[in-house]
Amino acid sequence: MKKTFLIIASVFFLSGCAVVNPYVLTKNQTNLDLSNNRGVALFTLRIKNSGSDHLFLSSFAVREANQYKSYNTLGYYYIPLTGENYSASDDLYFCTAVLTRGIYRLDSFSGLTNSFFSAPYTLKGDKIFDVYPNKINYIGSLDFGDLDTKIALISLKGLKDSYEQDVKKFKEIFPVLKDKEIGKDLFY
Amino acid sequence: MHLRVGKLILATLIVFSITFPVFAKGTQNSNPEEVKYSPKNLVDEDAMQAEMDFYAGNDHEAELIFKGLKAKKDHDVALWSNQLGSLYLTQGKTKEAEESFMDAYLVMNNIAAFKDLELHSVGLMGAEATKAYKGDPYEKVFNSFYVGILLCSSNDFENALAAFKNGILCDSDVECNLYKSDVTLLYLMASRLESLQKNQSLADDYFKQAKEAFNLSYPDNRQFVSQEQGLLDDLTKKQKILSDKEAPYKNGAVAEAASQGQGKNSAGEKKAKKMPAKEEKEINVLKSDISKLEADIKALADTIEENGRKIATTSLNDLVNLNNNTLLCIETGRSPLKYQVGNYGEKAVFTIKPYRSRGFSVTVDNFIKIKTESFLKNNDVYYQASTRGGRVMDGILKGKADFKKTTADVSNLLSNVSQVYDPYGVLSLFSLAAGAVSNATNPYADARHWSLLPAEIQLVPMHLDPGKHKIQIDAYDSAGKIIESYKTEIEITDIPNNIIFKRFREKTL
Repeated sequence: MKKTFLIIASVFFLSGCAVVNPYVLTKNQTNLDLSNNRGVALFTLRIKNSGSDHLFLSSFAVREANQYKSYNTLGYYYIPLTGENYSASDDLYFCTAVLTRGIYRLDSFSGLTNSFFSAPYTLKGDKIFDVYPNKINYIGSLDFGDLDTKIALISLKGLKDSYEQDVKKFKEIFPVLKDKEIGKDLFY
Repeated sequence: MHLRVGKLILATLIVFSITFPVFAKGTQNSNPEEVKYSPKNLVDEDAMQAEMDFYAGNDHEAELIFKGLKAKKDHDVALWSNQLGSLYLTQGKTKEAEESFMDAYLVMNNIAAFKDLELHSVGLMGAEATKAYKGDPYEKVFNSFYVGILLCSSNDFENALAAFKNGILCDSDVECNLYKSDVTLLYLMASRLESLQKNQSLADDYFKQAKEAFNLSYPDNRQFVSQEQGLLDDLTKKQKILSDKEAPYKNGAVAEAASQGQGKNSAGEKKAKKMPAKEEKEINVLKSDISKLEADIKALADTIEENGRKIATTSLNDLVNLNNNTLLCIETGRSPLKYQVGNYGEKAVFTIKPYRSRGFSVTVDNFIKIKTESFLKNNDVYYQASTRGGRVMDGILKGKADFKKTTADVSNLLSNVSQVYDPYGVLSLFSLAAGAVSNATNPYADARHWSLLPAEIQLVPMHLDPGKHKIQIDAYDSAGKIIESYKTEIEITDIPNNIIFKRFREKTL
């Protein structure tokens, strides 16, 4: 009885560990299922940590932009950012979003600063991007400038197209992208 | 007995022959595609699928969905009709496009249509999107343009002219003065039609207004027009403040006071109310600001006029030249996207996806290149959509958002208090009630928009002899590289307006 309980508990525990967020790519992912009109958007983000102040981003939020739906029924997705999304050598976050085809608005990024109280911090994106069925697209590189811990929210400073270097790095971080064709359709 | 059996067989045959077509129709309706896209099986959200299909080049699916939605004849019928009209125009089905745009036109310009829904939408509990779609001023402008130009190609000049005039009227329905009447296309087409009907004086008037509109909406002038509009708004505000401040000291106010027995000296003469020094100082500062604003506005207006003198107007002259019997209407890119922002989605904003095809070349019969100076450009939909000024509805929505926030705050506060001490659950009840009211309030801005419109329209006037002609249109990107080519054969007839449409949609979604 005790054995059965232990097995059930361990299966439950392990299955919990194996739950993968369906909206992101992971380092260990070996297969990319883009059936049911799903597509992938890839982008990078840079925020310059100044001195001892550091920002640790934990997620970003994406809202559907669909004129045919009521605002309160629009899809709203919190997409996690983990250690594997950050490259300290480039000072860049490599973000992925696996979504159903449609038009989306990148709303904001959330994180914590390393100050005494670990204050919550928000980066406001407000950029639109498209997701195409069965396609992987690079959608741009967001620049938020220097981190300013005196305020809790900063807005986007710039947007650029760094397709060549970013896509190369994406393929290194996410082996599932290695042999995939990656197109380009920038934020607007 | 045999006779009875014969009669029975005959009766059976008659009944069968009557009912068979009904059954046959029933069998036809079981076609899976028809069932899938029948009005009762479609919901508004399916339109997103149709929109994406259109931009991906899957016109068949898009048409079935929009047709099914239009057949529902609901409060969005004008939206579905416009979407369908753009789809038909892209497919070259001009008759169907004309019908669809006309259906939308009738609803968009009918104040009484769906009035009960409009009344509901301005109430605190009604969502703006519950009202009937009648379009923003820019959408009405472009609907009128398409109705007009399609009627023009059917030689129905009077109705076409009425549609263009309606578009001009809709364009004047924007908040900011300088953005009123800046759709050059409409004035030029009205001028052309007046010329065709031998009303030269009216044609000249429209042409003059077309030149002004062209000047105001010309890219080199847009920043100055925007600055001037900002200063004009400031001026209006300051003039109003000045007028309010001066009102108590003006003759009228003194006369009023005098009639009430005040403001008179012992001899009964009128006595002016003395202005306090602080007020006088404020008024002088205001007057000085107003003078400066007026000077700045004049300087900007002069710059716009000066720029206007440098702008080539060949394309305007060519479009109204009746010798040009063919108009090529090139549509390019994706319409501006309207979406909600704000904590409660209470504001609707526009953005546009950059489109690659920026320049075109037109070659007729393999060797005649139409000179690009004749192309009427700068008819960009985003400019028209984004310069319409604040709408009255935005103000109402802001009020709703504030209301929602307040009720939500009250609900949260009561809820927190009730967790502390509320032995009889009274506060919880209030909290629930406030929460319910807050949830029932609908501040969401209406994001419905005509998303199958192009981003830009270019008109190319040319003279072609009646008969068959080969046309080639090449689309170039900003670097001058050909990105798409289109070849077709057209039949030019002996009418004054042969109109050809070509949509370069950027196949994406």
